Amino acid sequence: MNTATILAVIAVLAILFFAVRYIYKEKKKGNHCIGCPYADSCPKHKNGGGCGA
Amino acid sequence: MKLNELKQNQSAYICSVGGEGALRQHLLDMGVIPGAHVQLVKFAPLGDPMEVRIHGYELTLRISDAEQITVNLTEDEFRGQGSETGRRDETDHPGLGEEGKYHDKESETPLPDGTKLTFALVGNQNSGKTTLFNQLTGSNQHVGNFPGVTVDRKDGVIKGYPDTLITDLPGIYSMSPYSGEEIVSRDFVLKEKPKAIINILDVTSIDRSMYLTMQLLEMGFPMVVALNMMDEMTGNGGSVDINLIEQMLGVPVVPISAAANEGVDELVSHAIHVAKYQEGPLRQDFCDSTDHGGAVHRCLHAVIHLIEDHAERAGIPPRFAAAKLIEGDELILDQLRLDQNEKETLEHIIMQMENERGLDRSAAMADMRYSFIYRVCDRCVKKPKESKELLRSRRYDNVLTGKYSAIPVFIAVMGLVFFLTFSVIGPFLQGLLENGIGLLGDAVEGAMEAGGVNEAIRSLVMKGVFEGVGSVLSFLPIIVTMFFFLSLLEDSGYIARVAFVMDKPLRRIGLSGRSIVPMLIGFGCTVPAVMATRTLPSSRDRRMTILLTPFMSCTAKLPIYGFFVNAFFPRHGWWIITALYLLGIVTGILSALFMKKTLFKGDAVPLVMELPNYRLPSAANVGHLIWDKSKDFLQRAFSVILLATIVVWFLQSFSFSFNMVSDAQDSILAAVAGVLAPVFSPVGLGDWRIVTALISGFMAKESVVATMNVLFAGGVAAALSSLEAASMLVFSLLYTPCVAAVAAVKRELGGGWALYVVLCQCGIAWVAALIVRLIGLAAGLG
Repeated sequence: MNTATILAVIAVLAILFFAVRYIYKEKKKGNHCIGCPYADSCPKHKNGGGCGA
Repeated sequence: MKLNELKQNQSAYICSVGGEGALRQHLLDMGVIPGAHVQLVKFAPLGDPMEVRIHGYELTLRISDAEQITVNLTEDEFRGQGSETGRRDETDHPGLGEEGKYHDKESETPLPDGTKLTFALVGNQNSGKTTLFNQLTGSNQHVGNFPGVTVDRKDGVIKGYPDTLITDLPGIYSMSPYSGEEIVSRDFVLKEKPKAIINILDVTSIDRSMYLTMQLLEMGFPMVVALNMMDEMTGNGGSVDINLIEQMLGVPVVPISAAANEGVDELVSHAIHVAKYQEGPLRQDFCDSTDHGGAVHRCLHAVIHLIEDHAERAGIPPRFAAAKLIEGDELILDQLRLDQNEKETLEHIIMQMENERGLDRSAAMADMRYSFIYRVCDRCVKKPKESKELLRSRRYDNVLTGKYSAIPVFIAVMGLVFFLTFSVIGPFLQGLLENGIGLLGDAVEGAMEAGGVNEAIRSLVMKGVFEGVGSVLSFLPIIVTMFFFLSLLEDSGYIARVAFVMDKPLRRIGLSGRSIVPMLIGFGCTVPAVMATRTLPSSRDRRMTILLTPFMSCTAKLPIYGFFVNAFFPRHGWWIITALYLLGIVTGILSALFMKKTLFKGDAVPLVMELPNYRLPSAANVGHLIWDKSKDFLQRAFSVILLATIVVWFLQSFSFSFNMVSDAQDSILAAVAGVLAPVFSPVGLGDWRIVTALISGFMAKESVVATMNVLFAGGVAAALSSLEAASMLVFSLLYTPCVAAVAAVKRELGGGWALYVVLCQCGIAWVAALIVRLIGLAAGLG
């Protein structure tokens, strides 16, 4: 495996690491719907109902 | 005569309000009470619903609901409550809340230092709550000129006061549990017990707005009243005697303009003061002992005494609980746990009041509150005869909701929005972004080639990241442009008019006028369409609308139509594509009728809705919305979509023995597609390559064409018949929406409904494609 391949792998892994870390942090905050703009106030995860129910 | 029998511009006094249940209570809460002056503004272009003017604002309601209301014609010109000349008694200054002028120091119970001061921001829909919330907290929550923009609570800290927490609640007209938003707001106040309430009123319709104030005062919480849009009021020659209204209400009153950030600092200092020192309202009793022999007054006080111990145990203010019990609020009745004897006593007291007052219980309570409001407004408020904003709105409405012009204008406006979004601005910006992504991709590919990077890694970066995430990113400009135009329509107040105009046709398929907006957006993209259903007040309507939006053919399907039309039907392109759009609409209507009879029995939610005045959209508000949508989209693209794309790349690039394949036919994806191919054989789509393309379309519809281009190296026209192409077109039109849309459905309704959408759409698409194939075979085609 040459240097360029190693650098490319590192770059891809870094992108994946940040994507997974973002999802993990959102899940830890209680946000099950990653990327949903209404996730912070989503009653689905506050009151056990559906979003906006 | 009945309300719906009025002619345009005729005025009348309401005699009685019939009907029953929550809707009747809602009408009473909105000021549709015996004795109120009402004027018919117009009927919707299709004859239903109707728009009336009452208490100085415009209200829509359906003919069937108006038939329950009897009126007596009057020659009087329309008037709201309030004096047109104003009164000018001298009153002391400062008012309530300023240095405790009227405050009883002996009852003062200041909170210990360091206690977090919690506030509830409560007011009618479209009264400017979220605008004020943004001013108070520095947030950028979306605001709109459409009733019901805020569908859930939002929290924030007041700027400069770190020990505070203010909660923006959905707009409500009363503390009756008519809709989900009202329950959210009422539960918040009753259960979470904020240290104080900031009640925001639209001063241009102060009499209607103050109805909620009465109920909040009954709850006894420390409270400040903010008279919003005061600049509009004074700009039109009106005024409010602030000191006198404070005296009559017994709480501090602050005139503000939330949009112009005027009076907000004073409001904050009053709010902090009443919360810190727990200054409750000085007055909670609005019933008049001389009104109709004091029937309501005696009833209310008798009930307070009857239930006082139960209310204290349940933690509900006795005055509020008594008022709600008289109105027949079952939720409060359950919480109080009265015994049978007390329930019977309660009923006897209320029946006696009804006999003496000559009105039923709900109407009597609404009348009591409005009588007090009329007294306050007559003494304190000088109303402009007609505001500039109202006159301007009426001029616009002559065209925008006119009998003959409304529907053509609506079609023209939506056509212009779609044209500019999908043919002018969106593609231009999309092209720029695609070029940028393409240049970056070329540079990265060139660098990897020059560096001799491993082929698998190169494939992952180019196909997985650039082609996958890059193709999704390229839709950002279209989505942002669409939101920009929708934000303009919403902020201007036009969306509320569309709901008014389109209510009747939509009711036939079980929906209300409000559902038209998400369905129109669905022609652009299903994801924002599903999100737009949040403005619908009824859970039933929202679910039904979400399930119907995938039938509106989104723009991502256009490349598929273009691909097949060019290959198979080059001389009939325009009418085939038009027919596909119409087929989607017809299938949606048939599905709606089916759902109306099965899954969602019952009627659409009544269209009792306030029509706001037209306003110029705020550049800051539109800018914030665009930024928020862009940020959300980018976060999603570089997290969930990135990971999903890499999974698909892996399935397309590797065999079951985890060797990289040179021919996609040997890949895991092809093997899976081959298993599914027999399912598609009856509709003429049994080729594994077509199945693969359709599966890839689940990720993004555009990739159907890209996949087919790769897999059908010799040209699709040589591999398929015209009949199979027609079958493919119909199947593509109706089958499952893309994963982003399904995820949006899951977010709104849950996983079960998302699965239902996928399976149901695929089933309908399969049956429709089979019908097309059978008709074709019967006609000797194929």
